[in-house]
Amino acid sequence: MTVHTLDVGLRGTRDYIQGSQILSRTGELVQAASDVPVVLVSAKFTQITEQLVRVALDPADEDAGNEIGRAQYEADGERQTVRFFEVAGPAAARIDDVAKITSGLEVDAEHNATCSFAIAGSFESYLVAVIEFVKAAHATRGAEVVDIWFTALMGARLPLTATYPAAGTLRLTPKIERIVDGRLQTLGLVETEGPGAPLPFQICFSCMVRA
Amino acid sequence: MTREEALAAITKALVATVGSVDGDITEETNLVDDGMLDSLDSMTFLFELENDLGQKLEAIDETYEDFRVGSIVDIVVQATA
Repeated sequence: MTVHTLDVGLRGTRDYIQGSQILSRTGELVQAASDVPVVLVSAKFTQITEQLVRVALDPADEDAGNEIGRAQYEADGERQTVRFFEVAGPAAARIDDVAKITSGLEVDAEHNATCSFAIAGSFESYLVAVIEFVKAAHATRGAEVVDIWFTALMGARLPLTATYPAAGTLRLTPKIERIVDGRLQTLGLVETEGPGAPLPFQICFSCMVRA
Repeated sequence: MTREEALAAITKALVATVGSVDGDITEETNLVDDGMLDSLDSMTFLFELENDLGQKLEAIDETYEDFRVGSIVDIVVQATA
């Protein structure tokens, strides 16, 4: 049995479980089961949830509820696909918010964006910084852009145990935009500058554009 | 770029997106309707295709919905002419 309930919660005033928490808690499980360093390769969320989340680490595991996403981790060239399920029942417990870790956001007319970050240097703190940055960049498109969600991450090589730069710069370059079912979906390239910075990767967000 | 080369580029972008493809990809294949790509995958597919071609496909804007391979071949051939 390789299905685990993740130790995640509703941070601050949020009414959803952050993807960064799901990927980090899962990463800890995957890394603990491996003798070699593990990297996060991709993740895709199809639904947000305010409930607890279970992860099925083995493809042979039966579905553990309503599937809300998947991720791929890689160790020593071997990829492992995990599936996320929301746990039926009450909302997850509320946990303390954390301070903003990005600053100096600048966005041009083509939605290219940069910011500075100061983080603890962990995988989770880096992921939080990236999502905070890209979400803030989307919010500058105007007050009519609401419900901005992190939905996917692709083409990544994000080590789970490496030390990320404690400070540096993030850059977002928009690449693809589509309107699907009334929501704007974006794909952008994220580049990081700083000592030991990870390689660039693609990130997807979804948002509602009110008429 | 010829239609055959465009088809090869599309197939390459598809494989880069979903990992592997069962069966042949023809100009009649519809990447979304035939279940090969969901809406998120379609973003990655377009990114991979434009990246491989080294240019933006201006005909594919945010409202583009036609994921029939033949239609995308048309766009690639025209864009690379």
